[in-house]
Amino acid sequence: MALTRFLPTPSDRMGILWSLLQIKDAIILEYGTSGTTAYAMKTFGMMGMETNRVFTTGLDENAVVMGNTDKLEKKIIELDNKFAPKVIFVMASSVSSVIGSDIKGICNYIQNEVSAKIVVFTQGGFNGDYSSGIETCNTDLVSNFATNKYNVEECYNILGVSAMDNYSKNTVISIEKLLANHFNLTKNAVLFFETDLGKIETMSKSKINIVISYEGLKAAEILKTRFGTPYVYGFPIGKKATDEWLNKISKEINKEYNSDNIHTTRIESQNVVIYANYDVALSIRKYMEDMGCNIQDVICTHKIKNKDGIRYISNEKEKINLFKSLKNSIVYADSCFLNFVSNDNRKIDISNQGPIFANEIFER
Amino acid sequence: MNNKINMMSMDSDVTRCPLSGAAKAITMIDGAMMLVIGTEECTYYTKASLEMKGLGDNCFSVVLNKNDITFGCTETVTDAVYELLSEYKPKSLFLITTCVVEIIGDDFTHLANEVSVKYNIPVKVIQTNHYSGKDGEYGMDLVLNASKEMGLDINKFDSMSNTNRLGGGRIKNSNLSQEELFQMLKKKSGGRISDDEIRRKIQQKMGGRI
Repeated sequence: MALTRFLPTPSDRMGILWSLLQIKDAIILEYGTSGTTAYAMKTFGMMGMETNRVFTTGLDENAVVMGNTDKLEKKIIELDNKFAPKVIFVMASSVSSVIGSDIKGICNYIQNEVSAKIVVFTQGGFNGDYSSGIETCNTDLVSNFATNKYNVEECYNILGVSAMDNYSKNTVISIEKLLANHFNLTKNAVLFFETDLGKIETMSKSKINIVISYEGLKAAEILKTRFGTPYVYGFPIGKKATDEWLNKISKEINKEYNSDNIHTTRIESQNVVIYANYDVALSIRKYMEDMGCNIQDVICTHKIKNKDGIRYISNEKEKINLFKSLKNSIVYADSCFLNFVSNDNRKIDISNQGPIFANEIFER
Repeated sequence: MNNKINMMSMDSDVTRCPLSGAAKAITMIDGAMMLVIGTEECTYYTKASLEMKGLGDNCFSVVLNKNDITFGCTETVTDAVYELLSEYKPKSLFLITTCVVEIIGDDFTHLANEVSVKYNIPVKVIQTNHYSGKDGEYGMDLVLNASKEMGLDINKFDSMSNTNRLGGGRIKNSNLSQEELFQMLKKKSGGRISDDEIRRKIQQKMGGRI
């Protein structure tokens, strides 16, 4: 049962990498074989990400067998001299993790020789999946860069965005529209979607932090303790949830918001199965429960401790068998697993369209 | 910012991973399947890059976790190989090992021989550890040489995407005869380019070598 037929769940290192790629002025240096970087950049490039800020040290047999780290030191100095960046993010790789290179130690002593700040991510891809990577990235960047207090302005930050979700752009635009229309707020930093270090440094000037996934919660807590910035956590789906979410924001920022009178359509006695990431699954479940449906099963796409009745199935075959066995249900899943669901079910693909605030696909 | 990419490409030691070359070459072999054994990254990128070209159907993976790396992954890989063979029944199978597997030193040659006899199909292990200084072309060569040994047909004339080893700038370095190149490009052009034009292009690309 060890065979993986489809795309495997991305690792923590991948989560960190695609989050850092969203920071426009960041320079990323990978301590690993050049093939890993080239392969990653090719794939991310094909997905439309800008990848010309990633560099690799390259690893040869000498480095693997004898532990030679000269290349890492030379590359950090070279990047600092050539581009004079504010910060260099140094990332470990699976190979450097297995051979046990002390990247943090090397970066600590080389820090005195360069003007750029060096931030090290030691995750080699064995400490969890992309979700923990995104969480680490949110927490580390907020801890390292959002340190100065600024005067509060009419703006907000968004935390916990996963750049690899197809609907991340839609989500950010939806939040932008809603908060501009209702509260006249503008967007500041988005962790992590098309942002830059300047915005991350000035996160304290925001009135509120919008946390759309639990990956951003720790970072929001840090900002709350450090600057007293309140946050609202949740990924509302449907008009009612969006209304409640806007209500919460209005209370936190002391601005008026007139709730709409919303009637939810009820589709009683329908079984529902949901396969999505944690926060999306939670929101769809609430949405369907409000409609009077019977929630049959909720499965998370990434590792999670069994909480809120949401489980994670690591075995692909088990997942396939589960989807094959479904009958007369509404199934929310990605296109890959919907292929196994028989046609007597109602299938809703959430991988491309994305369950967002605009809620069109859920209220058709 | 745009010139930063040059820094990576300017470095003489930056090469493509043999894994990507090997995976491409396997897609050229009829009925062959591959099992990539490695970390999430190696397996994800291989599958994703092939899927984007519509070639991902025959790519499977074994994702190694901490336990596999510490105590060896032979058991996990054996399970996966038997699962693949019984469920998909390939004509031939390539077990591709990546950097981490080569560092921990697990060898699957015995497993390959065992299942080859049991299922009566050719099974070969391809080692694509990149830190040994090899590139994508090397990975392709490994697969193409192995397929020759195994007596498999390489469907080079039908694979007209960039998975074709002879496409683009590689004509210059190919060791095929002029006639073979001519036939391949003729098929590739689908009659849109005249024979004379194709011959002229070959002459031009090969830099007067023939």
